[in-house]
Amino acid sequence: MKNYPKRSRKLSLTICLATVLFLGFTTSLSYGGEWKIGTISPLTGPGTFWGSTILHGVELAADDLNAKGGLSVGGEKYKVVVTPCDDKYSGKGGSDCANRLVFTDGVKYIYGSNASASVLAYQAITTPNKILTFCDGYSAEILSPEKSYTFQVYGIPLITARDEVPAFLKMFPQVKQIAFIGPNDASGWGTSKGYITEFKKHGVTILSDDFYERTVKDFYPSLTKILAKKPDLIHTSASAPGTVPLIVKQARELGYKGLFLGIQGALAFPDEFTKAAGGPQNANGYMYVNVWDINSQDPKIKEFVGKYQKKYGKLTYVFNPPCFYDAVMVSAKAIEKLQTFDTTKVRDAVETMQHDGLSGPWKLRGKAEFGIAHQRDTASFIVKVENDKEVIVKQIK
Amino acid sequence: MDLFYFQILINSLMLSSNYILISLGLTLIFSIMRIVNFAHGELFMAGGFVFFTFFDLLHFPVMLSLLLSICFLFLIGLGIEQAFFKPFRDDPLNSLVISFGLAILLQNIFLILFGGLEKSVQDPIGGVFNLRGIFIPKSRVVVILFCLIFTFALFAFLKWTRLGYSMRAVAQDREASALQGIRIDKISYISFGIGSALAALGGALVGILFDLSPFMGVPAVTKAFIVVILGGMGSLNGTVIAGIILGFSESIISSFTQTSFADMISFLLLIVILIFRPQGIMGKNY
Repeated sequence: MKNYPKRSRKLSLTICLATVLFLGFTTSLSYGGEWKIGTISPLTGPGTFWGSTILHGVELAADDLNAKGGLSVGGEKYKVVVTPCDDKYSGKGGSDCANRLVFTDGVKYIYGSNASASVLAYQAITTPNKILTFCDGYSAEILSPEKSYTFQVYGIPLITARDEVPAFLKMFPQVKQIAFIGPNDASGWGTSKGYITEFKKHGVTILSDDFYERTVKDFYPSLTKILAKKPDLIHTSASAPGTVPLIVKQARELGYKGLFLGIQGALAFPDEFTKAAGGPQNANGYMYVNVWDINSQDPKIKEFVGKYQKKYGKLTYVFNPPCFYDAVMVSAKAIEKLQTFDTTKVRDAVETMQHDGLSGPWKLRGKAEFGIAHQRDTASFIVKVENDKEVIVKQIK
Repeated sequence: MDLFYFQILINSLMLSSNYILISLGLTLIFSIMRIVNFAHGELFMAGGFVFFTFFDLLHFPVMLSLLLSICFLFLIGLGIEQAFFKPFRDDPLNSLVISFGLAILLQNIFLILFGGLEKSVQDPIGGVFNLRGIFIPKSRVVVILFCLIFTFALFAFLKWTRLGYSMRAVAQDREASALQGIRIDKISYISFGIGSALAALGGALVGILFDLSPFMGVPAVTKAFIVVILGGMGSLNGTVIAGIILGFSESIISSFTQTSFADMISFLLLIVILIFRPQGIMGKNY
């Protein structure tokens, strides 16, 4: 190692120190403080895809808010700082994350998780501590008047089926017999229950309600059983984006010529879905529900899509990025309107906030079903895969 | 109605061949090295992704991609044995812990390299045989054929080659084999290499049939362990028979009841065999 002259070393150290002090000073001049928000979502393990898209939506909202100078509260500017936490799609992970975010990091606003187990676990910490949370778990137990600091960023199948099923059957009146195939967990049970209830109300016969473990890849035995009953439609329930194309492919291989229908989140990328399903001859026509039109010419959606692709690459079609982006924006809007970070006041404001988001106007529902209207009533489309693209079949609302 | 039962029979054969492919390498490693290798599922996963890289990303021909994947994982297996397991050859507990750590390491390496979303491998064959209402995808026929060929090849290798004799001798009695001049060190790492290569073959073929994910190793090794324990730890014949029993059981249960019951059946079989015949179907009575 060379020995630099003492004078040079002193000069270098002085310059470094001055730079650090200058940067620190100018940074502190820009912001009066920080608005720390946390995300709880699976960032490792099988739920990584969903969890990372939640984080992306939140981070993009933070970027946009900071680009405008942060939040303006009480004459001070607050930089939005995102603190992610990995819940590993588990209840234990959710409570560990909540403990860390709330008691160590001092976070008062949490976005995520998509895992019902995680949300139900962390609510035991967040609710008594008045932490405002926005999640997308499917369990109907997430919302109640006793858990008034939690919002769901879009509708669970138990509710959304009421809009989707009549619209679907109006388009396809020939569907008289349906088979369900879904994962053997709370998401799968909840989804099947919601849709079966609605389909039955409209006179459709439910031939089968089959549940599989999420690790299953070979659906030949299940589909052999299902197809022997000759359904008009196979509903893929809460099957994951990686599993749905396998079900479609294997059903087509077994000679099934009928319709498919899935829920929001059934598909990540239409081109990859098509490849996984064995080509357009199998994939084309697969229908599912989406809550935003990624191909919309709406300037704010186009801008969001551009920013997402620039920062993260290929944009997924699932709802997590726009729904969580909207949730952060609504929270920020409420904070700036009230000029306070008080979560109780912000919560009350969010309940009636007027905001035109990426997935439609901010509207809440669920009073009749859960005793509290904290579930977002998003836009809704029936879409289908057509030659590697998602095409809107019908806008329900 | 007859077609329905024929289809179930075909489904059962297809599922059984998958289980045999996943389990053979694990049995081989255990029989020679007495190591319970929890990283076997991740080697299976790695083999699938290596094949995906050669075939899907680099567009090599399918047979060349398969051969390269097998060779690559064979070499990786040699390296893993020397680097991680050699120091703990006579220490089964620490070997077990090492294999857990290796599994986590491999899973996260491939998660970083390929991301969390499933990857699909282009089906090189495509199409379905329709035998008067019985549907058999051509790719699955190929998988069954590969399973048969490699199972027989492995048996033939062990029975009729010098190296195979040596491996069987070490599996029977390590100390006696060493006294006979058989190099235990060499047999150990070659066995691990072959076991890894078999895992790679399984991963590549399963990747063609279904998809690939960095997390596919855990369920695969769970099934593999059930098959190996059912068949008898260290018994290749037992592995084949157990793979058939498990594949048929799960397929039949799924075809007549809830699909979710199939997993219950596999664990139920495991419990029953451990109670009534703990050495497994073809295992030795220890």
